[in-house]
Amino acid sequence: MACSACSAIYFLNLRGDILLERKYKDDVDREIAESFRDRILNAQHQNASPGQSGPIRTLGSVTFMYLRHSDIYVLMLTRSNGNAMLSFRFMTSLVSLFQSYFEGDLNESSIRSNFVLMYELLDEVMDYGLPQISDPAILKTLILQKGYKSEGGLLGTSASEAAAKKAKEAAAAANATLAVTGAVGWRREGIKYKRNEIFLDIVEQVNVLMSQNGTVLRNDVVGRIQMKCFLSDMPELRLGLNDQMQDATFHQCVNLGAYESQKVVTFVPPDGEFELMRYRVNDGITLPFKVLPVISEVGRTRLEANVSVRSTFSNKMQAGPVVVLVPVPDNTASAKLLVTAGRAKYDATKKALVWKMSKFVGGAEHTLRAEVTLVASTREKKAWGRPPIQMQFQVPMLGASGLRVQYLRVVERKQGSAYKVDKWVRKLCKSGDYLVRI
Amino acid sequence: MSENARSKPRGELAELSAQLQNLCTAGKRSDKELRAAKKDVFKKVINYMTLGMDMSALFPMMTSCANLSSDDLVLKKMLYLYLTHYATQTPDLALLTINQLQKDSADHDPMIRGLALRSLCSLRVTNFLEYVVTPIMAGLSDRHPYVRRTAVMGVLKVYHIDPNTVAQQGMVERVKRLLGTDTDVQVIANCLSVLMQLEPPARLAEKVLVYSLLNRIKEFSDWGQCQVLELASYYVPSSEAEVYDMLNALEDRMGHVNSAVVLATIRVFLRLTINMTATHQQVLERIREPLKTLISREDAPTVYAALCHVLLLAQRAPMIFEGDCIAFFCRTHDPWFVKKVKLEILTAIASSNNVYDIVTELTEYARDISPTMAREAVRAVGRIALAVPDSGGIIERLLMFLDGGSEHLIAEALVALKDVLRRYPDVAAVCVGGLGELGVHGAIEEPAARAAYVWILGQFGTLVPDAPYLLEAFAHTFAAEEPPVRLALLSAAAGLFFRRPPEAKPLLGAVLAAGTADSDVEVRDRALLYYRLLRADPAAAERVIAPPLMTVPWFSETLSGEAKDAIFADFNSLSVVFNKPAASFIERQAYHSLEAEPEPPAPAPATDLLAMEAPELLGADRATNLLADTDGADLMGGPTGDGSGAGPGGGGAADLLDLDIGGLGLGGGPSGPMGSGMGGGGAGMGGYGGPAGPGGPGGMMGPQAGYGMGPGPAGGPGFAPPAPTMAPAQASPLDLLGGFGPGPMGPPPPQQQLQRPQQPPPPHGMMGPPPGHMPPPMHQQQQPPRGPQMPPQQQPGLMMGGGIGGMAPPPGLGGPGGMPGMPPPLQQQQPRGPPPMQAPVTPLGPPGAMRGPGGGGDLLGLDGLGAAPAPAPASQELVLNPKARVSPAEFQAEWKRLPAAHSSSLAVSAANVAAITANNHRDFTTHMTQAYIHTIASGGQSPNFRYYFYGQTVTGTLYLVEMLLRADPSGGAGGSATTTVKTASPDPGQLAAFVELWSNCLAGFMLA
Repeated sequence: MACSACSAIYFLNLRGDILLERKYKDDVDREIAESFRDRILNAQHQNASPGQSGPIRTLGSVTFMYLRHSDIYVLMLTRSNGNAMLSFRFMTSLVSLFQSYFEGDLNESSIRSNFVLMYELLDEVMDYGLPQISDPAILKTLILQKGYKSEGGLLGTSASEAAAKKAKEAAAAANATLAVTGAVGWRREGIKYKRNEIFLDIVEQVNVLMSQNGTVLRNDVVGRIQMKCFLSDMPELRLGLNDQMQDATFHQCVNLGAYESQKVVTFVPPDGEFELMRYRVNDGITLPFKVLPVISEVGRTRLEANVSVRSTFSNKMQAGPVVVLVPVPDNTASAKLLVTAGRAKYDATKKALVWKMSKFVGGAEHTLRAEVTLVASTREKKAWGRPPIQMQFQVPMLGASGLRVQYLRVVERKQGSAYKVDKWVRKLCKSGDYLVRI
Repeated sequence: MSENARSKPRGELAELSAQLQNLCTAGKRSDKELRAAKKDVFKKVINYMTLGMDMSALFPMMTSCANLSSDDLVLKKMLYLYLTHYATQTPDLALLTINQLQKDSADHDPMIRGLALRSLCSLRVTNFLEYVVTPIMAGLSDRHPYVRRTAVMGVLKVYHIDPNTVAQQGMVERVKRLLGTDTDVQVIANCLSVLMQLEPPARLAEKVLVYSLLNRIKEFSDWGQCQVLELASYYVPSSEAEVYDMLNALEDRMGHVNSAVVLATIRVFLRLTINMTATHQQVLERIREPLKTLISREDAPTVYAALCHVLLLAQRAPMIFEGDCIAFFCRTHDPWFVKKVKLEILTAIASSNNVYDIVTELTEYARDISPTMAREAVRAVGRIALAVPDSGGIIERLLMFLDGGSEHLIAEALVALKDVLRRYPDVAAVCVGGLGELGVHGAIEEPAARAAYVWILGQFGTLVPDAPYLLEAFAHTFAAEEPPVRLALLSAAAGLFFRRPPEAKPLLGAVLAAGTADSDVEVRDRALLYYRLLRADPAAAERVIAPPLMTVPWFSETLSGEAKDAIFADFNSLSVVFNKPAASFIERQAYHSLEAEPEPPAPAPATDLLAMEAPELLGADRATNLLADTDGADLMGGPTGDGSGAGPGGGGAADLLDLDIGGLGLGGGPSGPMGSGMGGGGAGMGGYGGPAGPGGPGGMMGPQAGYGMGPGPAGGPGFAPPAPTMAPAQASPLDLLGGFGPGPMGPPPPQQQLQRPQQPPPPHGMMGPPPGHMPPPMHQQQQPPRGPQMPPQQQPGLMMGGGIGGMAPPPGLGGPGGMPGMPPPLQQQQPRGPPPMQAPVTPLGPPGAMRGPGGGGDLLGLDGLGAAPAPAPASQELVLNPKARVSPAEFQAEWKRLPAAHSSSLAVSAANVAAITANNHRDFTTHMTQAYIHTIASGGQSPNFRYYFYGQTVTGTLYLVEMLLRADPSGGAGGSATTTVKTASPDPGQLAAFVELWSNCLAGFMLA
């Protein structure tokens, strides 16, 4: 059980063709990976629900763990009683590692044009099936090649560029492993910016399920704090938050002990963009929108829908694109729609009335009125499932969880008070599963 | 492009070969151009390699090409990648590169040293080992950590090629030293990974090491932290204070962004506190929020892995998540595999506090557009209705699905309702009334649902006014129904006939007529049995076919306590995801440990557990599915099939039937008690044959008898011997009973052994050991004096139950038959059952689960029993709980606490030592489990073995048993078994009874 070694990693396209193969142990072979296509991918298609069967399967004594990213599958094979969570985390971190090298997405075409670089990286991130170092910041000092941003041919200029920069980067390489061992492995010494800037984005996703009469059946907010740091030298940041969170997880740079004791997020940030923390809030959530639906089936061929949406936030703010999906029965023939704002139409593929508003100011209310004509069904008693109304929106500068940044202090020991920083804080509230039963 | 390349690799190969050749020599280009060109070609080669084309022919060109520009790192990496890919294929050519690799492993650049070392170790050619050892040893003491950590991994790679080299070079000791002294965390993490694969982690987890690593844990990479935490989870703290220190030190890890670290931390928390009940409870509270955070992440695989772990915890301690049911409600965009686990969690945590919310939510899912989801939701409601006692509201929901739901919902709801009715027959009055209006016959196609519907109508026909006429619709389409439906219909018609004779008579007639002419063996058997029974003795037939419905007190779980503990011990592994012990999905690793590792006395190997629990598992499965009635078909498979299948071919149907019934009678004799143990499920097991431990002797014999008899008519001469056994069967039921009823309790006398050889051998030759029908005659002879021991009024029931059980196809039949016959006193006998069971079971049992054919020994077992009944009545009744569950930790604690209450020793022959330890001790432990003496640990190495067992009475008193088995090392005279029993029970009588039971079982297992 302890020996959760991975036997091989594959990258495959959606048809299941192998794009890249890196074996770490001898106990699997290519045929096994090909059986992934025959017995897992194709079997899924027969069930007409691709992607629905679990991400972990065992054939014989080989366990397949896979995840899908854009148009590829990342597949890990093992013959041991491996660690599922670690394997998935590792695959996810591989994906972000490649993205960071390619400065673009990881997909079939970027794999085809970067496979040599990927082999190099795969050689470093894992040895004999055991994860080594997967942090892009450290690896970038070990592996000097750059990714090819797009399908610009197999031969780029980067190799020669690399040679030109060799002297400079060799020095960095010598430091590479030192960086790992240092107390702040995620940040190099000697970073300089003319202007010190920090951007802090609080992105919150609201999940809610309301009953027909507006009672909240359940809701929670999943939030992330995204940071962009362009700071010189080795600054330490202290972020004070009002304690609203049920549970939080932090980037490795955060001193977890200090958070446990003082509830202050203390950290030496990595250079550039990173996700500082994630948190979850269950209580005290303010919902940005209330929805009141009245849907009545009139006889067997008609359905009337009256859906009003009210924004509860201040009228100084305004929501970005707002979409309301009002489901209708399968046998809908047509719909007559009347809205007080935006545009609405019946979308037969979604089996729903789609109501789009490009903006929605605070404290306003808009209504959709619909008369839906149904085709008289031949079979009796096939009741309509009445799936919930869905809503999608983005409200900038709104915090749904009530989490507030109380302060953000930056201390640089060497420079002391001479260290000036511009700080920017933004908020964004997005819809997650925003559902209203009808 | 790839398709093209695949079609003409030869051409590509030639072209690449030419290009490489050209690059080796052509000197006109500038160095820069040349390198760029080489890289270009190398990339093509590697691209083809990735596509799966064989590029090994380019080996010499590739090497010389790269060696000519040996200072180019990228080129070098590509060459080494190529090399490690093809080295095993072309070792001779690979040898050419060894020199360069060795040179590189002494390069001044640590990156190149590391790269060369890694590639050297990855060549995986045994002959190259001599070239690899020196660089590794040098690498282990390299000044650069990158090289050191590569060298450490090299040790593991060499180990898997040739463990001896590692041992000779003392590499493990070197790695251990590095682990203790190195300053680089990645080197330490690799040392740890390597050592944990070479040694049992528990041995590695010493205090000094664990503490020093935990103190530095923040310096490690995420993956390194996981490794350290994994090690820490094997550490056994010496005091509670130590546990608290560790918990406090690690608490902040739960806030780590890497979910793998969080889950690894949770594992440590759970394992550290496993023996501290109160703290464990606090830990469960503490890990709740982090787990909920994991499941609210966006990437589905992570959520899935986390949910699987939550499910495991929820099944162990449902209260923890009881208040959190909302967190497990499905989200619209959850993929199906996530929703499925969530439904299972909701089922597991449902209690009277949250059941309303959960069932309301599930009802919403039942309206889901995806039929799979909707069905699963209905199924979940059904499971909750079974599990949560206050099921009033839940049953209404089920009925709601029946009412106006779509076809698949009605089907699912019917199946669920049937199980609910078996568990709570009282609610029938509320639910079955409206069933008549469903129009199931025309609307529902699924066999399982049709069978369930038919069963309900048959069983509760008195509550549905037009039940006979509803069933008649099925009778009209009898031939078109699936076998399970036909079987259910037979039972339902016959059952209804006793409840509403005038109305059901035409129905029964039609069904029997169709059934006796059926092409399906099971169906025809059941029809013939009913027909015969009804003709011979309607009163007896009623007792068999339509006894009062017995409530199923609980449905067994699919996994045993031991298996669950084994899975829990593997928290944070695939075991949890699959909910199976690791051994069931991975191969035993060829290489595992440096030294032969004594089998730990802790939980026995997982397969063991499974095998041991198989009976229960099987029984359970069936039981949940259905009263044996309808579902039995697939169970009975083998035995009956053989028997009756062969029969009709040979002899006349009527004859056959008689014979069969006779045989059944015999086999079934003891079946009463079994039925009592398991209800319908028990009968199911009987049908299955094998290790139906908890079930009872009858069931087991059943198939045996069926088997033995069946072939008879077909085979002709072989059949003669059993004839006498038949006679009583036909004579009169009571006689029969007299003869066999006491089977389970009445110990056959020693003479039996003597007589046995006198039995004509043909049956042996023909169908393997058929003790099933052999012993009965003897019982009969011995019976009269013992008769009084058994309450006479129970005999008919017993016999009948057995009879049917024996006939077995109909596990279903066995069930009901057994029920009336199972008066409480018999239950008490059950634990003593096992030894006699053994005999009949052996030949039919699933391979491996049972000891080899040991007819003689088993008979001996009966001897042992002889004594049993005597002490039992004298003392307080000893009734062992078949479902007793004691965790290894509890066991250890109790064992430490209690004084020895009984100790005894007996001589064991060498053959018996072998028998006990055979099949990884499984035969023996399985045997004991049949007496509800459960195994907690078994193991050891010759000549000393240790076994730990426990039994728990229904009142909760624990009996702990240690048996030390000592084989005579010289292999001569055999050995000895020393048994120590401990208990907290104040009742000496019960202790005596337990000891008695133990020795009987032990004696019963030994070969004569």
